[in-house]
Amino acid sequence: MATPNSLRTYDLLQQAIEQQRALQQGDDWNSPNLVPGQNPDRDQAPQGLLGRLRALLTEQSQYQPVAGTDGPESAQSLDPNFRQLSRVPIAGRPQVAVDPSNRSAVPSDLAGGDISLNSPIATGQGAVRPQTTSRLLGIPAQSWTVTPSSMTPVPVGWRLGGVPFPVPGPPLSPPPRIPVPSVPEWWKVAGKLLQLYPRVFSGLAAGGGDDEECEKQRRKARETCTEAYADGWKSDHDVGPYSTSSGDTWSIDDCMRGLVSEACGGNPVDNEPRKNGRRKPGRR
Amino acid sequence: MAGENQDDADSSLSSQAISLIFDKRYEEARTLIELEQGRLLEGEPYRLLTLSDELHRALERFDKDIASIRRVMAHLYMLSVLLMDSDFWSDADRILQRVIALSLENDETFFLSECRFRRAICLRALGHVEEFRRVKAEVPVGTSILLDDGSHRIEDL
Repeated sequence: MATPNSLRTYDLLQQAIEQQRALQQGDDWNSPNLVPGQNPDRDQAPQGLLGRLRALLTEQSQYQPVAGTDGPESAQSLDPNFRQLSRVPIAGRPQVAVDPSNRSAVPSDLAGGDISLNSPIATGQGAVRPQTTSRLLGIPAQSWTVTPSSMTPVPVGWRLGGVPFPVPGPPLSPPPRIPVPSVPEWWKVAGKLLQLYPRVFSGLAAGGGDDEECEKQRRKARETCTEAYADGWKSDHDVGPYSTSSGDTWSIDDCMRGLVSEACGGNPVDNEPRKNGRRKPGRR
Repeated sequence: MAGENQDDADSSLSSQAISLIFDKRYEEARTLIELEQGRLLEGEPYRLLTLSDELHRALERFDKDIASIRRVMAHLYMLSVLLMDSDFWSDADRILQRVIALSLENDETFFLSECRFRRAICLRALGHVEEFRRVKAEVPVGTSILLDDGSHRIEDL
């Protein structure tokens, strides 16, 4: 059983719906002014992601809500179907509306979202111009953009159950590609390096690499070989120096490969004794 | 005053790191350098500002005989390894240059190839492309070194 209060609320709701319908019917949906406003700077759009982003922020800063401009439209702010009424600061400009045919071209994800087509954001009144956004996102500008309107409060969003949603648009298309900023050349170089340097990328190198035990072996071998070199080859380990098969002088790499296991990049174990018997089996 | 305090801190840090390495306390030195790396603000170039001065003072203690030079080279090499492990590329590069110079002056080639290889890595990390190419060309084709994660060839760099 509905109480008098709820009935009154229902009446108010109905009244507000009627007001909204009347408002919409008063809009000139077929006005030629619905052709999207051309951005005079469009041909001189800044290049690069940051430049375009800066231009976008500049445009956004031009939209400044003006307080105390309710005027005759203040009654409309009582419309419960409006989630929020925004004030458009540009006075004296002809009010325009969205061409339904163009409106249907709006992707369903935008039309069905929280942002109304009549909102400052959607209408490109300085907040976000679809042309700019389209350039930013790398997609062609849609014709649903409208030119600035008057001081008339415009709805930002609808409450569920108020005015029916427009007919859903075509199925969602894949999201537009966001242009990737160019990468400085030195970053590419550094990136390649990081793929090689062990602490950052492990597992790319030959002779193991992703084994913590191997890392310990190599680290220990490095220290052992370095200390042996510094101490005149006095060491408890088989650190050399030896003549190498390539004829090169003994290096720290040769020394280390003689100390770590084969699985960790060390030399294969040489178990074949020399004829003179002086050479011990080992990794050389 | 703040600048002086910072210099003192840098000097102290450099002294500690060098002393630890010269005492063969590599893990402690590694920890110290890693802590310093974590303390630095992101985006700032990593530098142990007074490392060169501290190193110069430390090296003055050594004699000029070949045994002492070998010890110096070994310490410098280990310092460069630890610095590279913490991305102190610029400092590591300067120390590697020192080791390479000592190697060539004294005909001691034990660290030579690896130091050149490591210098190439540093230069690449620093984005010094021309110098990187020049240093890489000094490393014979087919040269490989064992880094902590495994064996790498100069051709892969």
